[in-house]
Amino acid sequence: MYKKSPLYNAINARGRSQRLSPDFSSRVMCGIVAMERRRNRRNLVWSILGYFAAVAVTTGTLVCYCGDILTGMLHDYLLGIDGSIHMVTAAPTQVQAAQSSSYGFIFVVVIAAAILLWLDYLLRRRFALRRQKS
Amino acid sequence: MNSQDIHIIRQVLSGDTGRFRILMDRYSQLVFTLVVRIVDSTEDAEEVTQDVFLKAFRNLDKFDGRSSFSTWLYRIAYNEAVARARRGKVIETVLDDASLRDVSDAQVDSLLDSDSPRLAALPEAIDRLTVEERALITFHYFEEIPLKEVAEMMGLGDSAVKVRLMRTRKKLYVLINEISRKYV
Repeated sequence: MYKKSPLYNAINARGRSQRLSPDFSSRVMCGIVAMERRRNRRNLVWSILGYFAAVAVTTGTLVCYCGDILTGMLHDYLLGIDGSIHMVTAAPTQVQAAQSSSYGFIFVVVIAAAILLWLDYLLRRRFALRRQKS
Repeated sequence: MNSQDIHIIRQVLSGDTGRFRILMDRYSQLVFTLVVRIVDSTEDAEEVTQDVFLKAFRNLDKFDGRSSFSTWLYRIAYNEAVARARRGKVIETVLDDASLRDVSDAQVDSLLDSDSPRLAALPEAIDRLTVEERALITFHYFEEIPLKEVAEMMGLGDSAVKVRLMRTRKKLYVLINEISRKYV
């Protein structure tokens, strides 16, 4: 529509003979590769921090809520080393006590692990869906 | 929308970064030619073009396919060119409303659509426009992009872009007369 107009010709004259330098694409691709490396490094750092936080929360939960169970187990173990005779007579009670402490310990660890794994699964699924949508 | 472009974009988003080079080889000269017409120097134009493709790669997941890939690139190119102009010391001529008020549309049309010898001053007049004004006339008169699409690219309303185009034409008229008088 405007191809013959003076305005078209004047604008055309501005950039008619200009060409990009031959290594333009290579330069940009280098920039992109560098950008990707930085992004992957950033993701790795955040992943490490995230799992570190998860481990810290798990350990904190265990120590906070199961500290006495762990102490009891350790105490029983040390008693077992020192007094084997006492162990023989008191064995059934001690085994029962150790067993219930162990069950409690295992219960908390399983619950904490299940919650963390479920959160991990949810977050990964969310990011994957967002990526798919885009 | 080119289906090959969509296919390549999907591959890049899946992690095959090297495929982005195909899009660059296809569109880099096109974008550069547009940018060179908007900005002031060839060196700036090449840097702006580089920034356009880096930004396009970073935001490739935001490309929704509603417009063509070239139109999307043009939008990024416009924003980058304007940002570059704002950062640098660009000499632009700003005319106030008073100087444009007395110019009628008929006067502008009769000059810009004619063979008047005064139009020899048109290239210099275009040089003195702002980056936004140069982009507007390049998109509309050279790329022949409909005004509605130009408005979207420049982040303006439909009527705002029409008003801006009218003002830019009047500004060209005033500048052409000013430059022509200098050389008489």
